[in-house]
Amino acid sequence: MSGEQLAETAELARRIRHLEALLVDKGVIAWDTVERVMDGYEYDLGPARGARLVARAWIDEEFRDRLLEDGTKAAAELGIAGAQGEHLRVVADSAEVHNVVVCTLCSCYPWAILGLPPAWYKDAA
Amino acid sequence: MNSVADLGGSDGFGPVDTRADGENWHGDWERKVFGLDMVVETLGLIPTDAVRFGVESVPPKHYLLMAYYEKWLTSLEKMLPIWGVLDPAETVEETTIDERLSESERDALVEGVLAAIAAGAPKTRDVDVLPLFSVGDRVRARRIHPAGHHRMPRYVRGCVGTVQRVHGIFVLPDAVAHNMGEQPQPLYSVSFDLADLWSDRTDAVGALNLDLYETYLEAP
Repeated sequence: MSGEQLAETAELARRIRHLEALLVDKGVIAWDTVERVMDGYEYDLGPARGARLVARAWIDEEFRDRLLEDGTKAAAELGIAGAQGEHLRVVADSAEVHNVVVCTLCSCYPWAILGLPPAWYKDAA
Repeated sequence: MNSVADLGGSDGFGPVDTRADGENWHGDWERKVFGLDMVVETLGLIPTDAVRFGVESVPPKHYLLMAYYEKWLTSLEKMLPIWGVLDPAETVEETTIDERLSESERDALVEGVLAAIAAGAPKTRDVDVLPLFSVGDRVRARRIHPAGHHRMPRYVRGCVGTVQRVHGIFVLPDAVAHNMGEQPQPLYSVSFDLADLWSDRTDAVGALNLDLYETYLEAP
């Protein structure tokens, strides 16, 4: 990292610490809250759950139908649920139709089944 | 608002660079920002919609150059005082901050936040509202220019599409973001022909399906 990048990162870290300090002072959080939440949340975060849904749909046609009908309910059958997965809709590609799913306004992404989006998904390009 | 963040259809940003390094975070600070945002939203201190509005209202000249998670941080800095969580004038000497919470309170807090994340927070509401439109109806995206948070991209204003699905009754982000209640209403998937949307700019065949709230739509 360049000297300039180091300085920028240090400034960002200072700003974050400042917000945390204000929240700790109010008793809203503790100093270790964010770290502990992230450790817990990241433990299971990633596209493996989404892969399980797809794989199940490939081998079980009735599950596939349920998944396309109500994604949230079908995912719950496999114990998959949670933040950014509350209203899941699944669409299927075919020989005639190729689906592309994207947030057209910000960077919304189905964290509960795919984890966090890659950097290019959030990029302006 | 007519935010610079509403980039759909804009030229000049170049090709998408899909070389993924597989990393969620490029610096511990990014992980901290994400976590802080997650904690603050999960505790119900600021709604997600308000954080989004905070991002959208970053001035254009900064927005286009700012790193992604710095926009989240900037939004939190702005929104925490606006939502009454922090006092705008407050500064704090970090060295003097003691923990206010006991060890058991700290444990309960972490457990509570993780449990809430695992449970999710549905945006549907069980209210008796009759949808104005049905599957197959032609609808026009209204030419409205709200000053606040809004979830219809500018490029679709005035276009006519076809209702594909009635998703259900959902809270309205435009209202939640500005502490104006939930205003639950029908949310539709509306299909717009690519030829209608982009006409001379594409030879693509197909449709764009947008999730649009009833208040964004009118009969053509």
